[in-house]
Amino acid sequence: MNLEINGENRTFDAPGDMPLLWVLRDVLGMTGTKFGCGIAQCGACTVHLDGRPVRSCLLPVGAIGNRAVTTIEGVGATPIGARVQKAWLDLEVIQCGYCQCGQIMSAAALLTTTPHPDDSDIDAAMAGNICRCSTYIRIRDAIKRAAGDGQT
Amino acid sequence: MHLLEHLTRTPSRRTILQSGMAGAFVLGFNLPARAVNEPEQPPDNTQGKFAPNAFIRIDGSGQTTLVMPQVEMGQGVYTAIPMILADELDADFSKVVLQHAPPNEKLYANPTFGVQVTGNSNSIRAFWKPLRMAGAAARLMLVQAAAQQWQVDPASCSTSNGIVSHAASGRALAYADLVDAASALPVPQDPPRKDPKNFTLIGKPLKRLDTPNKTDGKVVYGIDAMLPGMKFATLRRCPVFGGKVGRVDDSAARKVPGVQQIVVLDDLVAVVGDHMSRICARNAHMNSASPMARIGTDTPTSIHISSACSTLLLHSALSGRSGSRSVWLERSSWALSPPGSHGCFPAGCCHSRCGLRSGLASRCL
Repeated sequence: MNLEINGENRTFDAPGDMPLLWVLRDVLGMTGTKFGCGIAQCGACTVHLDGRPVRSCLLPVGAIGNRAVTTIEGVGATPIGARVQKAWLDLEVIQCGYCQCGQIMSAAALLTTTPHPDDSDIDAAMAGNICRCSTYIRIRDAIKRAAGDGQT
Repeated sequence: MHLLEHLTRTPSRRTILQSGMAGAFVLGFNLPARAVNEPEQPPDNTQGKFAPNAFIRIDGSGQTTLVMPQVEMGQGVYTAIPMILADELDADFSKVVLQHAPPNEKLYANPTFGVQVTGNSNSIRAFWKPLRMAGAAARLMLVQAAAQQWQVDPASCSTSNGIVSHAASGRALAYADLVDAASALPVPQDPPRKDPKNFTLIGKPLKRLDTPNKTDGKVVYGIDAMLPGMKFATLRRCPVFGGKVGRVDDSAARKVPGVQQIVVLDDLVAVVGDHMSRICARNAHMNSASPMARIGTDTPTSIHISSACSTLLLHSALSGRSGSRSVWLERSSWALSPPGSHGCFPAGCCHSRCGLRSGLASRCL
């Protein structure tokens, strides 16, 4: 099976019904994408398909086709992804960090479609990413900062 | 027989677990990031380094490695502890490298608890003085080593950013160049600590050291440790607290390609397979509610499974020695990161890795 992951063509052996998450983690060794709930309720496993956020834990790898996969290991190569990562560090968003790769992926996807989101845009886009450390307020501020709209 | 009873009534394997696990823990995650699939922590080899205590290692290249006695769980202790050490040491904070402490209660016990454990919001309170003493002792030895070389009074020397200076003669030596000489000196038992007004790091709003690798997926959490060829297992317990397994119908699970074994203990069912997806597919609820164990490079057998399951008991070490109960209490706090552990069984012993807040666990088994 072939997939374009982070701009590279990756070939691997996996059944088509295997969720993308386990292809990334267990087959390809890309452990930046996290397993949280396994039922698409927490957002820790968020990756991009053609720039759109999806939960990889329930996405059969055989359903991806020729759409481009971007993971946390590759999102920094995009200008928006790099801005989000920097904003996350500038505002010290992260505590334990386990959910934050998924948060960053969702935030980067939001800023791609909505370059200047307001609070309601952010809340709607990020509602599927939960954080046990409750970093939500800083996440919202960091998204605004990455959009160039935050307080400096 | 319950899992914990099974373990504790098997003294030979307890011995194996105790001996085999020493030095093999990966606590939570690693800094600096290492390649995935290389979970082994570099051994704490002090050969050729200035290592005056359990916390500070300076090698001839000037790399200053600080050993973290406490576990970073998000509260910033992997920044606060280095700040204390580096301030008293006058190290170049921008160049310090962090390393997990191995399980060693003699060296790394939390002074408040007397055991190696992180919790109760007491890391800084507990380690404030020991860390300052460690940094101050190391700094004093480096100053003494430089002063001996220069034939001057140590009191006439100063330190800053990993360099000893003698202002009167304009001489300076990097800590890296003093490794051998300082190592030959006795460790002072009650070194003078800095006057707080001279702190350069403590009390300053610094950037966290653990977060850069948390923005790009490089941090290796316990659940991320991978070994070639290892198997995966999910575990399920009776949903009733203290309940035992009644009947297990594993006929459907056995038909799933990649499922290799179903292990049933009195209070636990484990599904072992080639990939997590194979063993999660049978039951989404099981997947979401159960911790994981990952089995090492050996062929899985029931004894291996129970050994790997036993590593899950390590998660419970902080909440009590009852082990098998508190595994689930840990999960009941709904941390996003599922409890996960990793067992490897080379040559008859067990190496275990997991996200863990207590080296105490190595004693529990």
